[in-house]
Amino acid sequence: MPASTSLSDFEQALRTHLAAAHHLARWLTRTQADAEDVLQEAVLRAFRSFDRLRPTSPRAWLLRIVRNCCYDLRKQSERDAEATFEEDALPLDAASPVLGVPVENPEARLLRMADAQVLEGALRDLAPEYREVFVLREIEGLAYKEIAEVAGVPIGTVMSRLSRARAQLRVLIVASQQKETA
Amino acid sequence: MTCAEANRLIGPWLDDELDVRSIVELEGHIARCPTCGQEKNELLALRETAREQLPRFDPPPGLEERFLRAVRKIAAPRSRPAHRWLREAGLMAAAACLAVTATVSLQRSVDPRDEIVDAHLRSLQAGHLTDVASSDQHTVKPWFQGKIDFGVPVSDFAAEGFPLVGGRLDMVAGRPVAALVYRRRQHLINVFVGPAAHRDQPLRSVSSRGYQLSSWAQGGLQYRLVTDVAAPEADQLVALLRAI
Repeated sequence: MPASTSLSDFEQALRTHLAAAHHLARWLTRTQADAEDVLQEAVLRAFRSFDRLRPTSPRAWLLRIVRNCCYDLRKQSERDAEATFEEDALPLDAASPVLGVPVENPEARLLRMADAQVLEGALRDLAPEYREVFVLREIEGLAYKEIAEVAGVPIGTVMSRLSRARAQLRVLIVASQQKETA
Repeated sequence: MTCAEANRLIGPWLDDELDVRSIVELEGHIARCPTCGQEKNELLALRETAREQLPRFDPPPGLEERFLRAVRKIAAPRSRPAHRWLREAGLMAAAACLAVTATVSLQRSVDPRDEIVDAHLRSLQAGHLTDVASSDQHTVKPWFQGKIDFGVPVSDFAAEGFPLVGGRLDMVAGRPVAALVYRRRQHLINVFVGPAAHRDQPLRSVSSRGYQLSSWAQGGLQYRLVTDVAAPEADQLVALLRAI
């Protein structure tokens, strides 16, 4: 019975990767309810194309669908806000805030002291295109190649987005801590 | 190696994405350059902080089962064709005309999508498209009043590239529904609106016989959209309708 084989294969893939999918959806939507709505739609969409595609990397494939569903939701809710993403035109080294500052390195210490709230706030402030690469790399531990598949961009773009995500996060965290201590 | 080059490679190095030769060069540079050493420390600090501090959003209990149930539900009709074939064969042996009736009704119950596509095709025949032809939502909306027992939200999306063409009464699944007609360039889009069994239902989109179908419920109304325009454009109109 091909139908039931594909169903059980799909169930297996879903059980294995639901935690990662849920995690990504929570980072790319605002509320738990939004995340669950998006996930349900993504899961059904994924199931419909599972037979046809038989993805070689079910994780990247499922995360890609989840990611696209999250962006669909964002497009709907921000239709008026018109928040289109543009790749940062700055060269990478100019985006890095630290070159040329004194050696003592207080920033690293500040970063280490950053509490959960500050870090989460900073990450939520990033453009989702930067947020997703950071979450996929640092928390999910995906390789660049897999991140490229999820985000639908070349590996070079993954590298530059990740670099900018890190640079922006550092600026945001340090700024918010300096505000606190001031 | 310059600092700018090193700076670009530190992230990939920490991510284990660098080739051996570059690693050797980079490590040599960092040993001599405190500024780049600092960059490395900061990136490491950021990573450790992220891994230790950021919340790990685990799926709530029951979510997996809920999704699996939803999947099994849409999987069920897929396994039916073989079943149907057997049943048809049996019926044909008994009485040919009964079998024909059974096939028709079984197909109906298996695939309501066909009915939506049929309704769309029917509407494209001359003179069937609209009962009230107007791009003015204030003309179309009141036209439905008294003809159906539910309110239909009507909006014109000409500014977004989906001008309203008009409306008509139609039948879907044996029930009278309001049909709103939109145009996308030379293509027509039918949106059937009727009372929903459940107040809200998430969006489902499929393609069938070359047509895009989307179905969802919101505010107690069931929406069914059918068109031959490409899926991304159909999705745009769906998004507009869902945002009313």
